[in-house]
Amino acid sequence: MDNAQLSRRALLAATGTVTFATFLAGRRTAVASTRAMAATAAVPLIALTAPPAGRFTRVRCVDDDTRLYLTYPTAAGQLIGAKVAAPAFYGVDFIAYPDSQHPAKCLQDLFDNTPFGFLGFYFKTTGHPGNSWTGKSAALREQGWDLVPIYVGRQQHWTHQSDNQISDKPATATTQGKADGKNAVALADTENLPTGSRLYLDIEATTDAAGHNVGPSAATIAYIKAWLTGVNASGKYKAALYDANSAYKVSGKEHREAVDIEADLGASAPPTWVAWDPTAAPAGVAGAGTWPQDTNGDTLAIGVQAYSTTIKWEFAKFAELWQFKLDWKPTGVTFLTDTGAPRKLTDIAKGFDLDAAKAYDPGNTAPGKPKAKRRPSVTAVTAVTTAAASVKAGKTVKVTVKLDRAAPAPNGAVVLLRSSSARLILPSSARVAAQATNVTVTATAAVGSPAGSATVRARTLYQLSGQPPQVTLQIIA
Amino acid sequence: MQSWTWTNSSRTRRWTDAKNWSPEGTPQDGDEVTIPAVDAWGNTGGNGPAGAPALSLSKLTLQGLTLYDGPFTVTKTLAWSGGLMDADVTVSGDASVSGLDGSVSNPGIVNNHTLKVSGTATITGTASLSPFPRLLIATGGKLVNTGSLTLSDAGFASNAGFGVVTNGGTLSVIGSSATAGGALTITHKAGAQLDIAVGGEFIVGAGTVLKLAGGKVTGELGTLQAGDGNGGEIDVPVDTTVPQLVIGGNGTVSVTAAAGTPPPTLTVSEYLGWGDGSSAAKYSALVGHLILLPGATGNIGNHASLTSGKVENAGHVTVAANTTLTLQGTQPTIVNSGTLTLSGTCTAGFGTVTSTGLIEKTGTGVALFNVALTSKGNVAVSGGTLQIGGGDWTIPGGTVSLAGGARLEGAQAGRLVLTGGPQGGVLAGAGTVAANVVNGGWVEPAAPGLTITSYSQQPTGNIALPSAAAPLLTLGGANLHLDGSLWVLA
Repeated sequence: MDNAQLSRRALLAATGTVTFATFLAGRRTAVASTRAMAATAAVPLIALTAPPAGRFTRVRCVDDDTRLYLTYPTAAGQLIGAKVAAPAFYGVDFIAYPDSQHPAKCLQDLFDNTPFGFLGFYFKTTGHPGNSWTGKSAALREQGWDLVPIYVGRQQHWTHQSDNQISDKPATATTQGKADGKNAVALADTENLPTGSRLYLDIEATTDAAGHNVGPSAATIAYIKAWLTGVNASGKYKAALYDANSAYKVSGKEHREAVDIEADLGASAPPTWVAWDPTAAPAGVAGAGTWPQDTNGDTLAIGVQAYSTTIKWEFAKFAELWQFKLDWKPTGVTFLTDTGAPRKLTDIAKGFDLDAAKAYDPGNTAPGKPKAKRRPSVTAVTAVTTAAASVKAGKTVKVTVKLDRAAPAPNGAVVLLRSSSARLILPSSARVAAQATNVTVTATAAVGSPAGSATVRARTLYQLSGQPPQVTLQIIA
Repeated sequence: MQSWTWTNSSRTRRWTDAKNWSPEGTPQDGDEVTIPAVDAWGNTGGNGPAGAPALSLSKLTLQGLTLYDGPFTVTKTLAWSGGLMDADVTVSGDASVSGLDGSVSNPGIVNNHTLKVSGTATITGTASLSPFPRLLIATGGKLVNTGSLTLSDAGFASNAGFGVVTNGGTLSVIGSSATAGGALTITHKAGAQLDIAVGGEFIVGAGTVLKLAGGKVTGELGTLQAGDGNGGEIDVPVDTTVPQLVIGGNGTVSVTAAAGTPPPTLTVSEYLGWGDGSSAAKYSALVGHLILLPGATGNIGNHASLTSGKVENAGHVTVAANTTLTLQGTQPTIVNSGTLTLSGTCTAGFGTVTSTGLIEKTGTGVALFNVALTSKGNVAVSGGTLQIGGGDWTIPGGTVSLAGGARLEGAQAGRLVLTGGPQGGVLAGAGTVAANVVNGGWVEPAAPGLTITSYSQQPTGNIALPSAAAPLLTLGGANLHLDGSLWVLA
């Protein structure tokens, strides 16, 4: 969606008016699992003999779905860490593919170095005329992203010049929905999205001609149903819906658009992605820092759950995906890359929508693979020697590190190499080139070494759990 | 051909007096001549025959009385067991020099005369003599070898003047050979060969300069040594390889060239001994660029210095306990791609060291490595204490590791600076780092724990903890600063 839409949505969320009432009936139960926020006991990590200045700016533990929140002492004492299983999975979407000098590099940096695991992917439609994403899905999926395909469909009220308005006649709206659903399938085919991918129909806040939120009309519901049917009829893709949690009142009672649409769709309600910005971290979210970040500077580990019983949280009962921060302007916000250099989020987009999902693959373009499985990991370390696993003092041996998949482009993958013995000298790191599955480094048995052994362990930078693969070399004096 | 023996029967000492020879007559070209140690009148030493004409002898035997005038050419055999050579002699056949026993009749070349050997010559001493038996080459005297000259337990000496040995052929050393004296220059010319046999040593002693001017030095198990405790210098003006080199007490190896010519290198292929244990006041000096090849070993002991030069170590060099290695002059540098072992208590400073190999501290005691170090290899402290001096240690790759409770200290202003970010250098292990550590790379503690007393982490820095269990890392310092990344491995 464009920034104007986002602004409009935010406005409506706060000031929507009442037009009609709906009753939440037959709401489909979310199929994705809801992760419970689980925290382990805090443990001392580092003894500090003085209060530290500064803070760690990247804290990683176990995997992408675990946060480690730190408590710094104000005097000499222990740096305390508490592991928290994030209550959801996180992603991001923004209007246009980055127009920076190295956009692909930027997006791999974003995937590699943040908890984000899925990425909004816009089809070129009348509602989203830009084609910056077109043709880039394969490369993005190779980087590891689970893509969330977005089809910006016709809207209840379209303020622009182009013909993108849902007819106010339900029969015509149905025809429009069928055609657009068919178009969405064709666009997905063009991108070669895998079977089972979810295509999200983007329905912005339902307003009247004056721009006031009036809730979804019958024609709008007809359009949505027809679009969903059209996509599902492909037998290849699964239809899903993106809508807003904008507010309005009916007979003095507050309603929410997403909730009403869910009720109107009834049994045909698809997996739904709801946009709503609570403007601050709800009470009870662990590690809340400066909204919408946590204390580590990562995207807040907020759950797709009702943080209160008010109607504004009703969407959480059925939404599988929640756009919890809209058009975030991350001025000055950076994240660390695999070189240690910071990258500005604004290098990627001026405005970010932040998303939380109950499942790791809301777009289902990477089925069966949580983010950790979409990162390359080291599966083997081998040494090429003339004699089995031995190297003579003063001589070298080639050590090959093998990944479980080809390293993504364009950055490749960084592997860390460590030797158990100072007498085996090897680079502390190596980079597996893009599209390659292994990298070979030279290890040297130090001149004058006595007989002994050295174990070489290798892992990717982000491979934090489990025993890293290793090889043991015998050093011959 | 006639054989003649000097008798001085007429007591005139005239070479051309027929009665002074036995049988009577005068030696002619092609004849054999013997100059004994004592003539018929009991004269010795400098009372040899005078007024000899230019002669080409088939054999010349010198047994004690001085040989004057000439010049002489010896086409077959020079047998020199005593006396001075106050004449120019050229030997195209075989020559043997012996009797180097330090007695008054010790053979020697004097008064600016030259002995040229174009055939085969052997100078034989007695190994048991101390100091080494030496052929005297007095002021202005020259020994020029264009053939094959063998020093067998013998060497050269000069007096207060300037003697010269020029080797343009093959100079072979068997047993111990040493030079000493006032000022002796040995020039080993291009195309020549200095071969030091198994177990042999050629010691360039006080007052002597051996100039390796392009000649080969061979003999994998023989040693060329500069310095006998009182001095001695080896000059290397052009690229030269020496199998075994010792820079001994007060000895100097100067690997330098004249201005305008490319800087030379001295390559040691087997062994480098650098330092003399005879006295703490004796330095062993290296000037210029020395390369220790892979497979070679080196031992630095006592007091050694590197001046305005570079040592490239691809072998294994040990700085022995109680050693002071001084790096001085303009940009003295050690480039280590092999192993540099700091053993026990020792000091090395103040130049620059770059390493892609292993630098290790072993044994007990404190080693001060007072250099600006850049290491992409490994630095291992496995015993005692290793001190950082005034210069930073920059670790852009590789690992600095502590084991066995070892200690890394900052003795002066120098810091341990890990750079390179996630792809950079690593400080790992267990022990204490009592130094300023600036982490822009990795810190990876291990059981039972790592303590860093003064710590600052940069944005590119990383700490990797093996688990979120008992803390293995203690950080401190008045300016303790945290930034960058914390990784906790499950």
